[in-house]
Amino acid sequence: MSSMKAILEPEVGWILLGILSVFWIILGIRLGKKAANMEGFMVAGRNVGLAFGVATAMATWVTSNTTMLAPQFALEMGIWGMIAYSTASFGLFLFAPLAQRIKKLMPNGLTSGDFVRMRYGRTSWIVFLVISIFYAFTWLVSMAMAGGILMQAVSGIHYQLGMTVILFVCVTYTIFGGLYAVIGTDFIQSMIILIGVVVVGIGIIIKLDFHVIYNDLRTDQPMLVNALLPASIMAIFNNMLFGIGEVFHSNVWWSRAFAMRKNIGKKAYFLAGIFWFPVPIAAGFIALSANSLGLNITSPDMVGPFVASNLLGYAGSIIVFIVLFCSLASSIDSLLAALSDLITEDIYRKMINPDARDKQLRKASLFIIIGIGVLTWMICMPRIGTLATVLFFAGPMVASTIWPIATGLFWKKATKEGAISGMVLGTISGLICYFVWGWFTASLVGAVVSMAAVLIATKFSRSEFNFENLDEKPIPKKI
Amino acid sequence: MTTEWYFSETFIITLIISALVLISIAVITLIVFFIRDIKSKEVW
Repeated sequence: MSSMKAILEPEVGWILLGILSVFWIILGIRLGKKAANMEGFMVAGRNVGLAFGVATAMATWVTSNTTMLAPQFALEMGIWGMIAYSTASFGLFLFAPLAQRIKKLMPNGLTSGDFVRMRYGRTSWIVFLVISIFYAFTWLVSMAMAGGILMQAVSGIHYQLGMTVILFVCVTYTIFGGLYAVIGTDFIQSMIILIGVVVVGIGIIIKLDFHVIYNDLRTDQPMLVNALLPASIMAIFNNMLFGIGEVFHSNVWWSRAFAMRKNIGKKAYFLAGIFWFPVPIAAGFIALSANSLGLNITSPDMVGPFVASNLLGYAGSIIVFIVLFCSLASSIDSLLAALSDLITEDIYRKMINPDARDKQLRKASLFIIIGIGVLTWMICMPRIGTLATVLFFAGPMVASTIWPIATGLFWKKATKEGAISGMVLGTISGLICYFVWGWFTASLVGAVVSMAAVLIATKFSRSEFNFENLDEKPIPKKI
Repeated sequence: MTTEWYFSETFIITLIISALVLISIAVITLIVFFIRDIKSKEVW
C-alpha cells in the first residue's frame, strides 16, 4: 500500500514556487498601475467587462477548498459528495439578479457593509460586520493553511515556508494593485485552473479502468455509490445554503458587483455559476479510485492531489502544483482585497475618520492589508484542524445572512428587527446544531431559523424603505 | 426491510465526462469573451 509522500523534490517545488511567485507579483503590480485613486483600488474603476467579470467570479470560487475538499467529499460521501460540493455554484446563480440590483441601487457603493448600514441601521451593521469579518478571516486562514499543506504534500516544501511564501506573494500584489490586480490575475489564473483540471481529468480517465473501480466501490465501499445516502443528501442542502450565504453576504462578491460594467453583473455571475458547477465533479472523482489503487490516505483533504500525482507521475505533479497555486492565489488575493475594503470603508472611514480623503484611505488600506496578512500568518503557523472543520464552523453564520440580504435588496417592508434577529438567532441555532448533530446540519438550520425570523418581522412591519437612500455620494478624489 | 439504490457505472462516467466537456466549453467561451472585449475596448 502506497503511503502519502511528496512526488516532487523540494528543489523542483522551490523552483516552481519561485517562478510562479515572481510572475504573479510582476503581473499584479503592472495591472495595478491602473488604480490611480481609491475607487480604482477598491472597485477597479467600475467598468469591468464580461470576460474578466465571469473569470474573476469563477476563479475566486474555485478555491483550494474546491480542489481539496471536493475530493474529500467524494472519498467520504461518494457521488453525492461531489454533487453536494457542486451545489455551491447556486450561490453564484442566485447572486446574478442581486448583482444587477446592487449596481442599480448603489452606483457609488463600495462594500456589502455599506448596504447593511444604510438599509438596516447601525446595530444590524455591526452584527453583520462581526459575521462578515469572522467569516472572511476563517476563509483566509483555511486558504493559507491549505497553501502550506499542499506545498508540503506535493513537493515536500515545509508547511510553514510554503504558507508564508503564498501569503507574501498575494499580500504584495494586492497592496500595489487592489482589485485591478486581483481581477486581472484572476483571468489568467482561471484559465490555468480550468485547463489544468481538464488535462488532469483526461489523464486520469485514460490511466484508470473505471469498470474495476466501480466494481471495487460496489464491493468494498457501497455507501459511496449509494443513491439514497441520507447524510450525503443532507450535505447537498447544507452545502448549497452555505454557498448561497457565502456569496450573498461577502464583500468578495459585492465588490465585484460594484466593479462590473452596467448590465454585466447578472450575466457574469450566471455564467460563472454554470462554468463552476462541473469543477468539483472533475476535481473530485479521482478520489473514488483511492481504494482500488491501494493508496493509504492519512490526510483526507489531500486525497485529490495525492491520487493525481500518483497516477500521472512527475508531469502530473507539476500540473497539480501549478493548478493548486493558482486556485489558492485567486482566492487569497480576493479575500485580502475584499476584507481590507470592508475594514477600510466600514470601520476606518465610517467609524474612525469620516473625513478621510483618497490618499489617507489608500494609506490605511495598505496597513490593513499588511495587518491582515500578518495576523493570518500568525494564526496559520501552528497547523490547526482540518480544512472542513475550520470552514464549516462559519457555515451557520453566513447562512443566517441570506434572508436579510436578499429581502433587504428587494422588499421595502424588510426591517432591521428581522435582519438582526435573523442573523443572531440563525447563527446561534446553527452553531448549536453544528456541535450537537454535525456540520452537515448547521447551515441548513441557520438559514431556516433566519428565514422564519425575517419573514415574521416583515409580515408585521409597517415601515417602507425608500431604496433611493442607498445611493451614497462617492469618496472625494481630491486631497 | 430497506431498499438500496445505487448509481450505475454509466451514470457516473457520463457525469464525469460531461463535467470535463463543460469545463472545456468554459475555457473556449472565456477566450471568445476576452477577444470580443478587447476588440470593443470593454476589457475594463
